[in-house]
Amino acid sequence: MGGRRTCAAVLGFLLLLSGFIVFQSCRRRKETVTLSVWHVYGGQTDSPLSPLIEEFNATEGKKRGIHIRVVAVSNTNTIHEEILSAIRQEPGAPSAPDLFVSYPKTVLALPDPSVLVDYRDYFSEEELKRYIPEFIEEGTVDGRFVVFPVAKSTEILFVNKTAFDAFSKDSGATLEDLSSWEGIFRLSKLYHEWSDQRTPEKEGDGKCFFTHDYLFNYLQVGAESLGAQFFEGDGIRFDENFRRVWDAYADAAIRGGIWLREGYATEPLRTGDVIVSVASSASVLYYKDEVTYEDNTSEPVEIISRPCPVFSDGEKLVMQRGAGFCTFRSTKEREKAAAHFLRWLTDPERNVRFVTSVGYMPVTKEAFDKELSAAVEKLSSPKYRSLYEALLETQRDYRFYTAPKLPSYLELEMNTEKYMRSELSRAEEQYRMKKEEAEDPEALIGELAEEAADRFQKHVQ
Amino acid sequence: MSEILRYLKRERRSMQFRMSLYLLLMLFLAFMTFVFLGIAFGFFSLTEDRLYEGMEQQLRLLTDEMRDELGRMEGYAHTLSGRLGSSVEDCVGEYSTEISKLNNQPDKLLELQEEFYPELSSILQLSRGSGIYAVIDATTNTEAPGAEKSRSGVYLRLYNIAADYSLNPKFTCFRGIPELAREYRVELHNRWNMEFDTTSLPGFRLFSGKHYDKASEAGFWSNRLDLPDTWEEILLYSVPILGSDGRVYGECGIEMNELLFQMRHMVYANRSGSMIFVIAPLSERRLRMDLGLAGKMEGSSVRTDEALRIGRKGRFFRYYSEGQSFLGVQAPLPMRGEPGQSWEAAVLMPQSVYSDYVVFHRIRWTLAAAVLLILMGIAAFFLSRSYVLPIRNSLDAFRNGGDPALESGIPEIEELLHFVDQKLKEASIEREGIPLKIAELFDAFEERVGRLTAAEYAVFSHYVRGYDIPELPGLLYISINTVRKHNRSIYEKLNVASKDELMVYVELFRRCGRLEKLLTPKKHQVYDK
Repeated sequence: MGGRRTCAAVLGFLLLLSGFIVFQSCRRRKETVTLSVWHVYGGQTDSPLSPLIEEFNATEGKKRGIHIRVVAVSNTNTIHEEILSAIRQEPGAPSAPDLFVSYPKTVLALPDPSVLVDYRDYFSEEELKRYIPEFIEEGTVDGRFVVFPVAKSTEILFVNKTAFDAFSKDSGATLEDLSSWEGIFRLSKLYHEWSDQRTPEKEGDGKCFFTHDYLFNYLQVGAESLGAQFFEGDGIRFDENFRRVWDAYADAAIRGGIWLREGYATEPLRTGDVIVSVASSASVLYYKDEVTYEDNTSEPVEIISRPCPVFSDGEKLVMQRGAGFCTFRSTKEREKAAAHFLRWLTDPERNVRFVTSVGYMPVTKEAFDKELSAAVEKLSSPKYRSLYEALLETQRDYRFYTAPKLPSYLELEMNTEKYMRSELSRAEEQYRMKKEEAEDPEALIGELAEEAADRFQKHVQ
Repeated sequence: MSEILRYLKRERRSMQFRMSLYLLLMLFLAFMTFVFLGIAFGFFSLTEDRLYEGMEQQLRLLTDEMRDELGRMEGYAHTLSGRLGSSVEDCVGEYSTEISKLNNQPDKLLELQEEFYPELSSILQLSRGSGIYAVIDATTNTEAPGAEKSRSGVYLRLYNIAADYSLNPKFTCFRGIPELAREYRVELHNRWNMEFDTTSLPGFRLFSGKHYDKASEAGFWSNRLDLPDTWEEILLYSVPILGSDGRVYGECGIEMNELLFQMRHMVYANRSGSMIFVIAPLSERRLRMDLGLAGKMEGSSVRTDEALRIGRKGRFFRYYSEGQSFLGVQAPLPMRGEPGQSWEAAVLMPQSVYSDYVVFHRIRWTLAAAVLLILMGIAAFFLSRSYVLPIRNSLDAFRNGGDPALESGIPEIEELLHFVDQKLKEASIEREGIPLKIAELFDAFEERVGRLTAAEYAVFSHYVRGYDIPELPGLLYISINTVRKHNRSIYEKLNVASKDELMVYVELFRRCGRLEKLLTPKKHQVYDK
């Protein structure tokens, strides 16, 4: 009997030891899941997402064995190109990350969108109900929820108020004039003439007043706000509404009041080449409170924000913008980790903290209803305070427009940006060359605008 | 185990063999105990040695990569310096020009930047840096506020920093005339400025007003710098732009930013845990992480706002400051730093990670040794029992009057017991007064009686008791023919010719008082009931 007891005790002890060893080994083997990220929040400036990612890695990520590694901070266009070249495995293409920030247009351009995770596999319906439905809808492509919203933006009018005040003092222009496209285009012509007259010794050096970051958005939101249909099938509907929107812009551009060169709106505002722009609310991060002129002198300026202009007889409609996070399919463990990070990032309090530092809007109902107004009140930067006042006004008075998910959307957008700028630049140059000899400069502008529209139509059709 | 035991039990093994086996087992037990204690108390440092070798290996690989990268960047920076010097002189239209002639000439400066751009963009791609710059000692507007520290030049940076090399990288213009950026369709950096602030250029003041024979003799790597208004931190390799006569026109160089360093020089994933590769100047037994670059790895990072003091811990270096402590290895880096500086490359592991790793492995080895020790203890227990058991069986058999030699599997024990048995028998016979020859005769007969079958023994025992042949069928319920058949076998086995001869033996046994021996059947002679 004694021998059996001893044997049982020894075996029990051995079993315990084995269990402990297995437990120790398993605990050791549970390796951290590292997810690489390409994002756009901050670009070349101090990225506000980076400290949040650090916070995640140090807290929740550490607890759950998830590590987020930012491998590129860029913009959506560059990410779009790099993702496509990575997917196509082009020579010299980078390795695709686990998570990347993109618009649905990038998803539509993918050869096989099923390479992306459908977030419905990792978020319950109950969870998704907490998000703004339009944002979920925007991220859904072919019935699969593949672009997860973490921050949404809209288009906002940015004004170099210091320069505008100087102009308004002489011209009588008011900030109210900036509420409509008609007002903007009228002031554009006025500003070009006014700035030209300021240096009588130098003729023809009138400056541009305005620039738009996304001409394609101007055209489609403009046409839709007039009750018209902008798209027809896979292309653009070139009808009288289109022409009205086109002509308004072309008129001001041909007269030299609109900046037509490529690049973001922040650039000419930074160099004093324009004083008003329409851009994503998120571009607030890139506006510097200083303008550097071509003679290398700098001037501190005040940048303010206003809701995006509309046509005076049109609906108050504004483009809903803001990319979301896409996740490449991999293992269940990695996909779950990515979903967990996004869930953490969109927690209402944290989401508002993040979006108010980058000029975005939060994505959950709770964040919008409860957290945002309180957070805006705490903002110390006048530039950000002005932006959020404009955003709240936009949210109150405007209807958000979501672009349709057409397979040809990206191509139409790229062609519009390219050819509208090039054709209007060409028309503007012709006007500069011919206006002195023209019998009726106004008629010449009309002809050039029409010719530019026709040439544009040929390019994009 | 039981199979082994059965085998050992079956097999006849000598006492010497068994003793040797047990001695070996004891020695092994003692050795394992020693090993167990050694591991438990850390006398053996196998894990530490392996970790050290792993770190050394990582350091060698990363340092070699770093050397290649630094060499490539430095070489291209020297090439760039030569080409830009020629561009300046071509632009001004004379050799050994006074560069200040370009002051207040924005058109000429733009023309010069247009000359610079192709050189800068191609060398940025070839050198695989994260940025490239060239600045000359002239400004657009000498009347502008701060003009004394503002100088014209171009600074191109990669749009995307990635570990992979891109064949067609996009650039952004961090410094330069906007018209140049527009001409080459390069976006202005979000923190663009037209000119350089020379106070943030590491070499500008150093090179200014000097003459050099070759740019390479003046080139050096800066300490870590903050890129103004951005989240990025960089190292710059700066060389002077030299004129034909060796005078300095300005400065150019290549940038390596921290993100690029982290992506390109990551410690290879290994089982030991987090390691970080760092490069930093060494000064007064301190690794100046506040001036160097640090890599990152899952869950570990080193603070780059302070220097780390250097000590020793065994074969490792120990790097520590308030609140952080690392173990690691280091090697000098052939990197020409600012005057009086020498740079080191090091692979660091947080001390907590190191301790976890070592303790974990120590526990694992200790547990493994403990389990082996216990298994050997159990084996010793069972083996010793099986060693003792045959001896005990033999003794029991001996005690019960059986044949002890048949119960033991140990020849020495069998021989001993057999010998003792013989001696006891002889002593018994001599005590009873029977001549030895007769005793032997009795023994032989007894032994032969033992060979009878149960049926034969039944017939034989009746003869011993005095019954005659005709009586046996009735007593044993067999036929007379069967009795006769048994008789033949009995005579044959007992080596007698007739029943009379048989009865002579029986009578002799009776007279010697040993009749009971014949009436005690062996096991096989008893019918099962």
